[in-house]
Amino acid sequence: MKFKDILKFSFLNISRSKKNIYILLVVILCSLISLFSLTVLVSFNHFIESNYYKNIGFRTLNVFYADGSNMGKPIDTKKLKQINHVVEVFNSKYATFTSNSSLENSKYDGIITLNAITENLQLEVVKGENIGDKRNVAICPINFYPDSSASDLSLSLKNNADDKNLIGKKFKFKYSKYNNNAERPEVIENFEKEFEIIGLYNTNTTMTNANQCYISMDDMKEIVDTVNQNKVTSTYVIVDSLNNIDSVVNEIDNMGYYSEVTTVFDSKIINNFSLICNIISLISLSVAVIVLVLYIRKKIINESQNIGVLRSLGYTKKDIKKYYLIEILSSILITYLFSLLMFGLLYVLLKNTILSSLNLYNIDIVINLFAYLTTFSIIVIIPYLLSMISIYKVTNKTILKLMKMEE
Amino acid sequence: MSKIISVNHLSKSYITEKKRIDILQEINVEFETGKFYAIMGHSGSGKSTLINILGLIDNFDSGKYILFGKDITAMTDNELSKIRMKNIGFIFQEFYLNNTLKAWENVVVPMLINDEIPKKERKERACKLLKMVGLEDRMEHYPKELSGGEQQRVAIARALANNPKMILADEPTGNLDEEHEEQIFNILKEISKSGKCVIVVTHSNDVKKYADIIYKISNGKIVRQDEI
Ligand SMILES: Nc1ncnc2c1ncn2[C@@H]1O[C@H](COP(=O)(O)OP(=O)(O)OP(=O)(O)O)[C@@H](O)[C@H]1O
Ligand SMILES: [Mg+2]
Repeated sequence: MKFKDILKFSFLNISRSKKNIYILLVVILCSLISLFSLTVLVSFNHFIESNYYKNIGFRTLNVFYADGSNMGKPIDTKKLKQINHVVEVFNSKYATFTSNSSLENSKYDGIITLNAITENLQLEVVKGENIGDKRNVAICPINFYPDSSASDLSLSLKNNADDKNLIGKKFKFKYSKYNNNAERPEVIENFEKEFEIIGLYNTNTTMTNANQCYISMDDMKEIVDTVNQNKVTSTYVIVDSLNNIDSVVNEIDNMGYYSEVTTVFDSKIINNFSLICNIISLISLSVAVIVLVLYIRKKIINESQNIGVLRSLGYTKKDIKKYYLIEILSSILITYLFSLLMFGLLYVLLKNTILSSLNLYNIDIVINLFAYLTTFSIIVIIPYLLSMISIYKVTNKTILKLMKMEE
Repeated sequence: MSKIISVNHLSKSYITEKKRIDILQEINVEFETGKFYAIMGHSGSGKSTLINILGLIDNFDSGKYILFGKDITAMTDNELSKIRMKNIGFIFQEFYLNNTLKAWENVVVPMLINDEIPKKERKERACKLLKMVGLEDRMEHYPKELSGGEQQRVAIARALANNPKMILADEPTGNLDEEHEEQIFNILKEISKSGKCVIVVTHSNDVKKYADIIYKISNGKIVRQDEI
């Protein structure tokens, strides 16, 4: 029996039965659902890994003396810096500073927060350049919103400031020197420090507010030391990645200090989300497999009589096996390819409509091989192997027995 | 006319729950091309058993079956299949057509395993055979859209697909009324006249009008009834 003939007659057999079509539609639907949920799952994990973890806060440790009696004693920063995976150590008072700026106008109140950045902290600049060893320069959000309400504004507020004009723009940061000896701190002198914006970063990747800019550690020290505020300080230890936090915490413990993560990463949401995606794909895949397996088994039993008739017409056992294995494989494969095609179309359609809003969050729905391979191996291979067994069993029956089997 | 089947001392029995039923006992019979044979007998006498053995879809316990000069007992399943494909055309009481295939497509099914019929000629050949059984205007119909008699004629066309030397029909008119029965017998008669060996198992006495030779099976023996 020729391959082409088998394909042609298989196609006739399948396409002319409404029941076949309905079953294959169910399978297509299930594979679509699982393809989608697996894609969402992988995309989400991808997003978490590539973006969320960029927020330095999640890997910043606040280090104190474990014993309160040692308060005020300086912490050995040199030793901390020597710990494996520690990229930066500095006094917490140099971490951030919030104040007024010359960016105040009718729309904004001009309040911005400056963060100290060093070369070791690897801030990702999406436009312009990084700070390096330059002074009096700043890196601001691509959607810079110099207002104290920036935290309330949802991250979806895109490009509040015109990012084209942001680079090269200069602003003055205002701060005051206080007299700490007075009963109530009083301003001794006002200062203004000019910064030029040389680079832009994406707040979506750091999950921070749109009024936060980064400046060099030296500039930060200049400001903070001038202000000379009385503050309880600690030491910040920044770890290179989330995975290494535990080992660094252990090392710090061993040194006799106590440390805690400044911003705790809430992995519950992610775990729950992953669980839901996994359950959805598991259910849809199971339904697809069960429907396919039951369908194929029923089909083979229903076809027993036909198999007997074909044998009486001179078809060999090999012809029969060949015919049904090709028919079943081609129908499952076509179903799967059709699901992939539909998935591709829906993906393009959704990406340009509903999902485009996700771009604001920098969530990229990634087409991933994992989803295809998983759905392929489950929807195609398992039912196919099971149907092979059924076919081998049926073809080994005698012709008379097969012909006597009723539909 | 030439002898194509020679059966010697062929026996077949079934053993069911301690009981042994001898269906065919030491049967001796011969069949020639160009003749119309009828096999008759009571229900349960072993007619179907015999015709299935002759058609190589059932086995027997002892004896010799020489088909086209060759002893079939030594043949493999594949060799038997090949003989069925080339030289045996089956017709059953239940028609056994594929309901998802049109009339002409059903006739093409046996041709798919016959390398001697080129792909291009299949449909043409199927249509010619359907025309021969009077179904030239039913070629594109599905079995469900045909009467019982018409379906059986499609089955006859299918049996002729690979131009076999013998046609075996087990109660081909069992599900048909008299008018259609006559039609089917006439077609089978024509086929035998064209040089094929036609063997028909039937309960119908009308077959006597068509048959060249009538056999009767009773008590495990086959007896020639009369010769015309
Ligand atoms: N697989 C089997 N196991 C046991 N006995 C069987 C089997 N097949 C057939 N028989 C018996 O063999 C006998 C002959 O059966 P067969 O089908 O050849 O009869 P038949 O002459 O064709 O009858 P009918 O005219 O009713 O079709 C019957 O008594 C039947 O019960
Ligand atoms: Mg019978």
